[in-house]
Amino acid sequence: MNENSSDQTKQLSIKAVEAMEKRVEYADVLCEKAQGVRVIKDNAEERVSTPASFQGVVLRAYKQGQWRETSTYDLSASRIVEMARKLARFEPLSRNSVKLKELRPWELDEELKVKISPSEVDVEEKLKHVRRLHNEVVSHDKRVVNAIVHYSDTVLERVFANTEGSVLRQVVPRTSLQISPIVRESGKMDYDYLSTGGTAGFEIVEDLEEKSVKETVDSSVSLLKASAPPSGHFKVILDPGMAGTFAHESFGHGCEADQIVRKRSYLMPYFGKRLGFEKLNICDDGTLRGGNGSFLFDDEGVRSKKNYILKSGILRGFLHERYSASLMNAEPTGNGRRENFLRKLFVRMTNTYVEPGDYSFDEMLEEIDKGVMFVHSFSGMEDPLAGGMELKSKKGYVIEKGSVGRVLSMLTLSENVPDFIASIDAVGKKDQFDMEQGTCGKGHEDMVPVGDGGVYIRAEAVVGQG
Amino acid sequence: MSEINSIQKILREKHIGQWDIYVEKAEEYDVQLRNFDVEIVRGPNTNSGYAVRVIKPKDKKVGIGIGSGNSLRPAHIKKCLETASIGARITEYPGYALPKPAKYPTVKVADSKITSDAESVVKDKAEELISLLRKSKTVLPTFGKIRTYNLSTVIRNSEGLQAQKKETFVYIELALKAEREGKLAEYWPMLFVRKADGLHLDEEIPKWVKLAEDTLEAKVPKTMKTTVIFHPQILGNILPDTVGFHCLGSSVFRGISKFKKGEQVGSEELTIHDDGVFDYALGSSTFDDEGTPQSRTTLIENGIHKNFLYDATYAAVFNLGSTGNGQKLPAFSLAFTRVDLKYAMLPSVQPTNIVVEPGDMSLDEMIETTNEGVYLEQLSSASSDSVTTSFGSEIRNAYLIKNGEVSTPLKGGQINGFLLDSHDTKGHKTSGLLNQISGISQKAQISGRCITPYIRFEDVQIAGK
Repeated sequence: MNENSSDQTKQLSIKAVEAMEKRVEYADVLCEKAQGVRVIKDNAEERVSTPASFQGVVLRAYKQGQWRETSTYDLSASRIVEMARKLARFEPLSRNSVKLKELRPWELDEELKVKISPSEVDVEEKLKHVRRLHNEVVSHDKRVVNAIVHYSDTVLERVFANTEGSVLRQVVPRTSLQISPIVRESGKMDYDYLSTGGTAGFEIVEDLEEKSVKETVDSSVSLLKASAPPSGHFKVILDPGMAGTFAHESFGHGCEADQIVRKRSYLMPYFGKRLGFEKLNICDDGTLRGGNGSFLFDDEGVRSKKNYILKSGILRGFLHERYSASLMNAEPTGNGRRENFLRKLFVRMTNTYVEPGDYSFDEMLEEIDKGVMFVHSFSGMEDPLAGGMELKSKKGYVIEKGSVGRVLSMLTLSENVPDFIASIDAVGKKDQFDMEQGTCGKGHEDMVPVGDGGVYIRAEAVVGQG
Repeated sequence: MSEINSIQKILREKHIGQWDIYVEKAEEYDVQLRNFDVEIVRGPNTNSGYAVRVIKPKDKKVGIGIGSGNSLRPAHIKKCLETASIGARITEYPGYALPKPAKYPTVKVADSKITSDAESVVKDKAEELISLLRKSKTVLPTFGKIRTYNLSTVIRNSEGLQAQKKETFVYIELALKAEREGKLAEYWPMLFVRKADGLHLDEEIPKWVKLAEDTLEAKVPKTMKTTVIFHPQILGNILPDTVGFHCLGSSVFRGISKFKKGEQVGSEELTIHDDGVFDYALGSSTFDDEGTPQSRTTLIENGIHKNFLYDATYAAVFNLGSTGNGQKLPAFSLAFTRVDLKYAMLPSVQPTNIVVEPGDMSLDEMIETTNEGVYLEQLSSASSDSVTTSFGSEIRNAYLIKNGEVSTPLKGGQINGFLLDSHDTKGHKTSGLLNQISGISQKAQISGRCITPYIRFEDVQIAGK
């Protein structure tokens, strides 16, 4: 990379693998180059930066049950080959007999296609659109005291080679846009947000309708009249974004097989058993078109795929990288991911969602006498060992006698996950399906892009201020 | 740091007048554990990144562009400069003045053990961790990681400023699992400190083990309003995003700060500083990420708001001096482990270390004088919304307090509220937690970008079953 062509980078990766192969059981090399632009405008500043512009390589070797890896920003061939030779000589600090599962070598050289590649739009054009959107927000309502428009794009190229003979290259563009109008009236401030993006191009900005922007401002203004959420245990409805945050944070993290290997998942005893009703399906799908977590192969060269983790209410499978699959005699599922060349590879989710069921939203609503609806997911936190859950939404509504009532701002939902899943009694129809984009950490770091979503679901949980 | 000269040479060739260059080199080692086994040894992992800012004065405003990268090829450096120049031409800031050369304070931010042999430090600490954890017969570490960072930074600008520093960090994160009769419980600590000796694993691990074990017997709390004692770790997550946010000069300029100088914003016993020169604190440095000397600024004194924080942008806007708060951080809460990539960020005004002055009670006295309440050790995310200061989180590890004694462990349910005063739908002010303080402990500890004691709050909402 640098000025290295893709072919040169492949050759560099192959040379590094060759320098290791005789001394290790397995080795791989991942070279990456990212380019991107971030444009942020609010009432005070316009910030144009390139935080996602970097390059690097990570070399990884496996011997007697232990991994060792090293990484650098310096992509000179002589340095990388020397690092590879040195790495291959490592002595494991501890040993086990786990033999890595062998995979058939394959080759790929492909770019994920988007309508308008962000690298083909110059930064002035990006700023022009960000200014237009900012103007649409501030001019729509006098109560807007600040409007934050946050645009970012990255084009990530990753080249992979391993001792099995796989040589792969992919280019994955991602674009995202968030708009947050901060509004104030009578001393009270609040905001809602609009968020869109994924493995997509600049079309997400060009195609965004002014109507959506105005609706976000109106929604922010509506929060000025929001009251405090009720505290206690209620029937709840989660919108598709919230349902996705549940599927990812609360359930999906417990399905990551490295947590099983570590003996850190509350889901271990539930494998093959019923957790929810038969119309509940949750999957993780790295091939989802446009999904923020989509890619062609993971960071250890496994093709991305769609994996059911909960099928017809039964826990059907776990998500694997190569080591966990080897230990548990399973197949790698294309979920081995790392944030960048400086960070370790872990089992990570891709696009995680609740598949559609057969309930209309009105049917779901009219059967609730007293409850709370959560909309616009704000954050979620996993508890893979103990199965606790915490989900926050920016907005919500009280549900009374089958109707949507007063608006609520910043709500938190918590519950024991198996109890929550067991309480899900309605899953929305296909026409409600929606995906959101975000980032996910493994613990407190290692952020990777993911998508979450699905359809409306109805359940029971503890509700409080967020 | 030869790259800084290469970059400056190109800046001269292009006749760029106002600029600064930020170069950061990082070297890291880490060991990650799976149960008691070493899963992977990593390192050296190296990065060397740079960012160039170009500043272009405009009529009443300023354009600022930044280009960044970690490739030293001349073509790439030139592309960065081009990006920065375009940014300076097309953007608008309300003001800016590059810092001039200054005398810097002395602040301790590096551990000589890590600068001299980080690989041994990380391996020794991993061994110590495994050895201490093996002593416990009741908990299993499900995962663990220990990482060292060695960072070298140089800033140079067109005003003749040159500043350089070396700093170190140690990161530890692990999860301890307790299991009994089919019940599972966990304590999941994370520490980010400057010195290897700052970890005190021999003191911390027995406490962490007890928390994991006690949580096996935890109950979900009932819904109630009660007295709650917050652990410094929780305050360390909440305070920078709330008190810190509303003390920023940028928040004032944007009209979204809840603070006005001289107004009461907290209980009388509450005094808070932003202290960028506190030895070995995470946000400490001799200079900020624009080259301005860091300093100590009183934010709240006896409950009264005193001062705001400024970087070079808002110092110019308000015609004041910078308080040394120009920071390259992506976000308050998640910034810790990404210090190796911060070079690429644009600096903005942010707190350094939020320091809460200790009070006059011991933690034991705080508990003894609580008739009924909750002692809160760890929350699920402990995050809060900066604008509204609303917070809510699932309780992970906590205890009920009854008649001045710690009793039943708690897990599940939530704690909810607002840190600062808020307004209801009719515009009436309702009291925030900072106005409901009934005790501050004598001892403070570094917790994230805070140095804070335990604080006891009255009338806090708990949501349970």
